[in-house]
Amino acid sequence: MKSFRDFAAAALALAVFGTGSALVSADAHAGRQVKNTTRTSVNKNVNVNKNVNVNTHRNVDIDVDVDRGRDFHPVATAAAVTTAAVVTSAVIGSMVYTLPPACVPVQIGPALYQQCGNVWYQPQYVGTSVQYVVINPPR
Amino acid sequence: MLMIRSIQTTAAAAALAFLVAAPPAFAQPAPERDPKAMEALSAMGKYLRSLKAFTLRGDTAIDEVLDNGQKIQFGGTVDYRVQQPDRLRLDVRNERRWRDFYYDGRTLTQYGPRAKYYAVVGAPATIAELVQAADQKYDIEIPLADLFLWGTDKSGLDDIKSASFIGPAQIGGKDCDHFAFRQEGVDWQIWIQQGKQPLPCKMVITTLSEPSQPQYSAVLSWNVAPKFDKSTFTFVPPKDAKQIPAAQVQPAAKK
Repeated sequence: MKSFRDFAAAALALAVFGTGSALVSADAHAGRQVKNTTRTSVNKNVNVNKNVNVNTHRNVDIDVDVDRGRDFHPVATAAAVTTAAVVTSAVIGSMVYTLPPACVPVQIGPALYQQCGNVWYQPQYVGTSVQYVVINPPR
Repeated sequence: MLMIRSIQTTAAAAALAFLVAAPPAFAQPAPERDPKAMEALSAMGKYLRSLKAFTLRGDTAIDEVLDNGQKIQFGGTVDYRVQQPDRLRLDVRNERRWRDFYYDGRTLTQYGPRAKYYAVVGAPATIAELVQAADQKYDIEIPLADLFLWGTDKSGLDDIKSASFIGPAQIGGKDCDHFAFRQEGVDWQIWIQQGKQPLPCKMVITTLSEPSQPQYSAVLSWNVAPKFDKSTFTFVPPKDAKQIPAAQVQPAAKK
């Protein structure tokens, strides 16, 4: 099952854990980057060159994954969480696996959004992962 | 010193024994595709296709590979409820993720019971088509999808480059035969129940495209005479569940 996907900021998280530095950690729960390769069936058309990454620009990685569905959580869950990092720089169309803290779910018509400060996200399934797409504020 | 000498002696003896005994065994490579193994797969496929309905519990373990190459194993279960040709319910549970799938011949619903998000997409008319469409259109890899392809024209048996019979084995109290196969991208093993119900007892799939060769394994227990409620295959969203979109696979950019 395709359980895991890349995301760039995991490297940052690893660097922080690795050095024991007091630098700003994006989040104590930030997942480590995991490859997405283990097959669960033999007959899989591996020749189909798929790309489900609508936008691979993922520089926001701050974890409040309601599902805790995808991340490999390091042991150091008690590590310092100092700041909410750079949510305001989120690029429209970029996708993240986890939301910043203190988001508010907002239902507008049939659509569900998460408003996190002045950044709006729309959750969607990508494969079996819930990802959040940064969108233009719907209101 | 004595110990070292002893080891050397033993090693020398072993090497000698190897030289004497081994060459004939290795000089004759096993048949590339043992007919017994291929026939067992065909018989299993035929039997699977004869089943109008079944339930299946799989006790699973999957390796995920960290960026540094380290393998991490997650255990879990898959629970299939199947009524051919067009009803399927699949509950996947592992240490990281829970997902329920409902298929009724028209739509496929994916539901995360902890996140309480669900998505509904259009689906083809049969389970065999569904497992391929889900993967290709929505990047949803249905675990053990082979169960629905063996015994069809998509069985993939032609892709097998090496097939061997390993030997008998007991899996979950059942007498099974152990076979091993190699094909592009995967080595895989299957244990098939002996007797008149040649069901898979266990599968192990080794992914070769990754240097650390992660594995997926599933030990399977079957019920081939299940009874289903009407509600089994129909998703009724819980009050606090929210519908969200499902991203379609984009064609990859050509390099």
